[in-house]
Amino acid sequence: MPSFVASAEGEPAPDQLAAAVRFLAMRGVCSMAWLDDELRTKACFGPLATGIVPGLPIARSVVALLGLEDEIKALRNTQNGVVAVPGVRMGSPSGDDDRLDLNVFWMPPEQHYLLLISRTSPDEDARQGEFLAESRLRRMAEAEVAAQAEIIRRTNRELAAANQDLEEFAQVISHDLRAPLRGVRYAVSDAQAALVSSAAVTASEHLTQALAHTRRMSAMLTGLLDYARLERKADAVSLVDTRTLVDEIVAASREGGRHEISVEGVWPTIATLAQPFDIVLRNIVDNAVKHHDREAGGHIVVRCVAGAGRELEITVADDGPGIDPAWHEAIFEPFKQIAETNGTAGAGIGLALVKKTIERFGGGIAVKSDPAKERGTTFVVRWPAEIEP
Amino acid sequence: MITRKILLLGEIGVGKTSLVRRFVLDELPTDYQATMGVDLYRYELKGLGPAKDRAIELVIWDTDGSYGHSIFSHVYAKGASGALIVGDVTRPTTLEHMAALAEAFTDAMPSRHFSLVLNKVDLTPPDDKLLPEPIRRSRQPKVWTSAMTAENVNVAFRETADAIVRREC
Repeated sequence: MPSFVASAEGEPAPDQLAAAVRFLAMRGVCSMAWLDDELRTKACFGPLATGIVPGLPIARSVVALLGLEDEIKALRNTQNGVVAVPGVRMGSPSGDDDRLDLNVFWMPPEQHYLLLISRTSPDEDARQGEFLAESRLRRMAEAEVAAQAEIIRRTNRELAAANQDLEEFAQVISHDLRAPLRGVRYAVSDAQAALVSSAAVTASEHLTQALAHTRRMSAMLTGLLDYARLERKADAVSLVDTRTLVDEIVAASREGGRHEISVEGVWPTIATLAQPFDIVLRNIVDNAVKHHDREAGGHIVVRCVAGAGRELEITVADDGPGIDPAWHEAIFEPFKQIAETNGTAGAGIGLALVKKTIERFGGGIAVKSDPAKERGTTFVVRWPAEIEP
Repeated sequence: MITRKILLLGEIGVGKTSLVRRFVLDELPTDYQATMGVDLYRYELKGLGPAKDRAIELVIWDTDGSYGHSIFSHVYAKGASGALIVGDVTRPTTLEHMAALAEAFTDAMPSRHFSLVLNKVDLTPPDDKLLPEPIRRSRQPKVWTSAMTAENVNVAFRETADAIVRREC
């Protein structure tokens, strides 16, 4: 065994260190290889250096050093530098090959690089393994807890939103149901009075009115059910031919034939939630018809174009009385209704719920109108072209 | 033939070792055993590049998933020509982690190629809706794989090798 001679700084001289390493290599503790300026192997020694071929670039034999050539060459310009690649193992079918630590040094006196290969200490391996195993379990548990917490948070948010929606809708419904209910009461009372005075025709007219009111109530209750079904379920997403749908809606709105409704633009087939889309479109079109101030002859244009990004832009434009800009925000709030000029009662589901429905699914709605400048109102609906369950 | 280093990255337990052992050794996944440090595999691929006449030897670094983002400041990542970033389609958190790794890779190793490997499709069928928005919108290649059935495993490595060769042509 070589004996160390202390340098001026009190440390063993480098050539003596190399001799010590050689001594360890001879006993199988480690292996070593000497590399020239181009990192070609000049010589190698020890049981862990069996794959190293003299004359070849070291990275060809020890692929763990591939890509580190620049770092290794830079060692010449540093003092006591080392390129260390710890815990490397060549994958094999058995998977039980030694895990190795690779360390490359620059040896100034001999003007070559020294690669030292040693087995990763079993103790260190075991200690690190234990630490990593604990770390892994902790991280996996934390990730699982975080995922579950997020699910709970999301569910709570959805529940809170659903509760608020239902509460608001119940308020709207209870408010709006009073009008037709009062209408039924008055109509039946008038019919009763007419029957007492043997005015059968008048009684029949009042009963017809009562029937109209009950139909309206029925439609409102249907709206309530529609709204209750608005939950965002995976199986609710389906392919919807928007052209067919808008044609159906327009055909229904044309009944009575008071106004002319035309459909324009490109109406694609999209993967969406059919029921909310139907509710929104139907209400906006019905709104344009219902709140037109002329008995007949109005014009309504329903148009669809591809909007910015992945969404449809649907406009419903009428030539009705228009909506004063002061009301543009208020019309989307519950209970806010503009005084009607044609005697039409407030909508059942209302623009407030239409807006809420659109926004729930990532769209938007806006109104353009200024009666002081010109007649007409245009509602612009942005609806996502694809809704993911 | 050129020799290039690629990294296998991804959260713990997403199947990195199963993928590389299926690819190199055609070995069926066995009981889960976490990788400590790094395991290296070598594999030669031919018929690559625009004219299908190039060959490459891949040195595949199967890294320890515990490193997370810190892998990019570790010696293990130095000199890599590309990466396969792996996620487990049955565990959404690993897909989120995959998106974060992809972003970190782009920052740390700009202009290097990486593929997004969505593993374990034998347990959950491929469905874009499973993916976080950044992964879905990513322009990087996405490969749905199963180390268990070997589905698309060769494709994932071959595409990465081909991309590396084409960049160097």
